Amino acid sequence: VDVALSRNGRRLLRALFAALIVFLYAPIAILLIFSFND
Amino acid sequence: VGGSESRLTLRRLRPRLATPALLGAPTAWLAVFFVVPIVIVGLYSFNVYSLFPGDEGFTTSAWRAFLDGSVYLSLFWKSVKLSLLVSVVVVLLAYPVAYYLALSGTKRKYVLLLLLIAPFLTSYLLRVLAWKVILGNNGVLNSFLAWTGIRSADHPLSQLLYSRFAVMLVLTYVWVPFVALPIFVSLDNLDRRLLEAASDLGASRWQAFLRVTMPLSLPGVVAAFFFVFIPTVGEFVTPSLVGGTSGYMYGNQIADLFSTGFPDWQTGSVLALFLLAVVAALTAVFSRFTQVRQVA
Repeated sequence: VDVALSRNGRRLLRALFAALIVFLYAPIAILLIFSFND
Repeated sequence: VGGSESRLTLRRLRPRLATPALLGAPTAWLAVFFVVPIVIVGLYSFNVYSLFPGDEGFTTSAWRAFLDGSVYLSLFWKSVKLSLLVSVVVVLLAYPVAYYLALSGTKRKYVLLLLLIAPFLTSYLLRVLAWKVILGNNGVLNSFLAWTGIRSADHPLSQLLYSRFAVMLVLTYVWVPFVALPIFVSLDNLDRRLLEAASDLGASRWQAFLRVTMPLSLPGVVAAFFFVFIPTVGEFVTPSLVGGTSGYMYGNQIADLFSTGFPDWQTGSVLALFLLAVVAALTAVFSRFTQVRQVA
């Protein structure tokens, strides 16, 4: 038994981590896409 | 005999010379590039010294005007409130992520940590300017709203950019990866057997978190909080790029007082020294919270 995280807690935190990664990389990705704008 | 005596004297002197030799260069560096500029700024604030010839003479008028007046102090408190809010939001965002990386038992935690902090390794200016592309009137967000028909293209959400919201959003974005690090370190160093002991003694996961994990990770949280708060309270790059008039902060005022146009270096020095004093006081508090406690 994991004493730090339940299964649902792990899923929730994984989703939060993924959302934070999107939040962190989206502006850089958008800037990269715009750099090829004609 | 003479040779052995001189070798003995040298051996005795070596430890005495080691400390000044090691500390000399960094101390000189600090004195020249930190203490001397601050002293110059201090002299400026009392109108004792000026780089340009003028009517120098000791006066406390700038200090009195600063402390009596409400404009600069209210701007300072506005910056403090904004920085406090940003710091709290950043810690609240970073803590669960650091918790997941440190305690979920994933084998790829260091890869994921690198993924998290990688944006922090890119240019600060690039990351701030990226948000101008997103939040602007013709930016990504407004274009998306117009494309979906939620908002007319003639009436974009103009309050997204050049606002206090924009400053807070960008500062949060900039500092989250950096803040996750100290929290991750404090959680990663946590002895997992303490959580197992808490569980064996009947504590639920939530109780174990509140009574074991949270108190033990508090130094990391406090360090993370001050890592954000101290630089953001004097921040001027982000507000000048995305803040507009409503996002104008204390750091912008200092920069403006020293820049061309209507420079007032005396008042600027007062504002800078006041900020320095507040930051120094906070650093003292910060070091008290984060000091390493030896376990006997």
